[in-house]
Amino acid sequence: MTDRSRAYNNPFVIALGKTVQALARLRGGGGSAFPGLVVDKVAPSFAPKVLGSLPCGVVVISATNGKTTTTKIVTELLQSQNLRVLTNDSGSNFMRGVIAALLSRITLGGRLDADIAVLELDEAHAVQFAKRVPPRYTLLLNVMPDQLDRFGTVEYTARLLRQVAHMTTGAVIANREDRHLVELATTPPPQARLLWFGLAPQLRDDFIQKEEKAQLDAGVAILDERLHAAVELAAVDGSWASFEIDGSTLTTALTLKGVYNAYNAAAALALTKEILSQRDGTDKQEHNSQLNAQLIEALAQVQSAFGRGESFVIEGQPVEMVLVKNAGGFRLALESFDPSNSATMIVINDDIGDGRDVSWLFDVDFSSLRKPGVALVSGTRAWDMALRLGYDEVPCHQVESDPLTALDCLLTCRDTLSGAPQPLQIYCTYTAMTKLRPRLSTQADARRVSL
Amino acid sequence: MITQANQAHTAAFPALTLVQLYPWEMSVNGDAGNLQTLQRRLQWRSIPSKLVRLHPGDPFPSQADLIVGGGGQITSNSPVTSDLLRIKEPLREAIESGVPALVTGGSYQLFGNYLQTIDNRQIEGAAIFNLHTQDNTQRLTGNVIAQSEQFGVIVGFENHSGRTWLGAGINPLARVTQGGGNNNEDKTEGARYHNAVGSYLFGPLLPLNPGIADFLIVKALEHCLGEPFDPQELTALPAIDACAAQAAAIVQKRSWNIN
Repeated sequence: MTDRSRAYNNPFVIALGKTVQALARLRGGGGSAFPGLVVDKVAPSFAPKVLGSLPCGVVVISATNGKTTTTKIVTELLQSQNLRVLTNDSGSNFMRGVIAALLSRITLGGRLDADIAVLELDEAHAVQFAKRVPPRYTLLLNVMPDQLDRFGTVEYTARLLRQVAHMTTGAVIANREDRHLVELATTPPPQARLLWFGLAPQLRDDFIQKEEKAQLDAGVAILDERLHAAVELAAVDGSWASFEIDGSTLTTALTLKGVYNAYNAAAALALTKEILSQRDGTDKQEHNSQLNAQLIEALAQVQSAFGRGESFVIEGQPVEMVLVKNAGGFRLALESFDPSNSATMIVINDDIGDGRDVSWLFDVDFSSLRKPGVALVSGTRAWDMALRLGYDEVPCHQVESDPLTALDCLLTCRDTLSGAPQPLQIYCTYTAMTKLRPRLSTQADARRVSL
Repeated sequence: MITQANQAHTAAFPALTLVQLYPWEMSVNGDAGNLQTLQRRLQWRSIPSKLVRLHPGDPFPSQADLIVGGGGQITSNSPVTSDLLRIKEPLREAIESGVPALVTGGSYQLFGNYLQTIDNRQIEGAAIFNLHTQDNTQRLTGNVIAQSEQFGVIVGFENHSGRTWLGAGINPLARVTQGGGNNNEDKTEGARYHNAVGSYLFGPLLPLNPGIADFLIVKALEHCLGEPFDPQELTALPAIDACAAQAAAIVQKRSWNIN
């Protein structure tokens, strides 16, 4: 694989891109968007050509929730099998970000040291991207109401993802437990294989909301039989998970936190197995079980992606900060952390980065916080959060609109009985997180990216 | 409709029957909060209530004291569109006889005469509200402030592509001072007809504007009792309503439009 032909043969374009990238970095910016924009304008064929030259093709991962972490899991699973992976891990998930990633990895001579690209793209960008670069693999995790002020309706978002599936050439891997994605079974992608990942029956009640499940079952009832899942999440409990793969159950400890990340791992396993089997063209049982064991071992090492959630320790007090940006994500986050014996703060902002509509807070059930209560609500929409908690009969002790002042109050929280510092749980929207993170980082004794 | 005039009052209040129209199909973006607000405000005042969830194909309940319908995408082939026509007679009878209702978003549109889609197809509504809606490629999205004769200042968040035009015999819920409202032209927002309220506002509407919730509750009690009910007799809920007032004040300060 060392002597590969060139991915791109116009050194001028590459030099231009690299120069702009270097200049952008000198100016101190992260510098991912602008160089990509310049190259895409000057040479629109750059990205399609370079990506088209990858021997194992392009993978698109899209969803409402879990894109970043799942992209990271898939990347690390493929790397464990010695594939050289190009990924847009900067979180800049549109074409410009993809081009920036390419520019960093391509030589002036036009050689690219990668076998496959694994790209996280949001629903709208995924369609635009696929029209220019048809993905060989597409992984669709979920469709939940999110950013309705941008996408309009969840049905529209679902349609975008089905369009991406229909442009995929190799294989589409989708969530069998998502009623919007299950519709793919009735209108399968014309070129690609259609595979599923799913939940074992005993887990479906925990994961899927009652109403959602009834609707899902009503939708599936139209199909002839229950769809077969290539990988099923069979059990999960805090720090370990079991997966049902090729008829056997594999159990592993996980570094990843949160039950929903265990489900994202099932998705990543299904995708990775398909990529490897299309590359190797072998489907022997013996080979399979050996491979599965290796993948599970690699999975155990994967840590969560940066930015979704972080842990800090401040004067001996553990602090967990979790990003919440829509009802589905907030529900899953609440299910993943035990609120008893810890003090909770919720920070809701309504800037563009957060979404200006906060109505979705009423689609989250906060009753699990009823007993411990919520120490503080904060952010521009702190009162909406207080109102929301009121209707769920969750006691809320303080409303402080300024997030940093609220954080200072939170850090003095003491257990009412023992007087000892309590573990702290912070749920916050995007711009609130960017405000809180620097303060937490400077005060922390130790910092660890976790979720 | 069954009248409740001669029902024996064993408790301080009779049990109200709340009917939620199409809970699966017509409930988006916090709409669940409208129903929860009604239920909690009843529960906190020790007014018993039960909820009937009406799914496509279900018979229209023989008793209905308060009807709630939320938002959702309306297409000509959705089960809701045809099912609503099936129950439109008893539904209309209920509204005409004074049963209070809150319909938001898609349900609000379907209570009208028709919805004209972008590709010029006409989807028939229940024709309870004399209004029609023309779909538009541009969505109206953003915080809304509106002034209502009956309820004072109303706030919420709009996010809809339909342009709704009120006909004769139906009043707007409020007049917008900020935001697009019904159609981005005539400054009206929502509709009022007998004891029914239609609106495009999310937020959700009722938690942010508890005056509307209590109006619906009073009218539901009157319907159930068959006699006038003095709103002053409703227990005040000062703590939660103070939260709502603070939240509504913030919406007014942060009231740009996205478009």
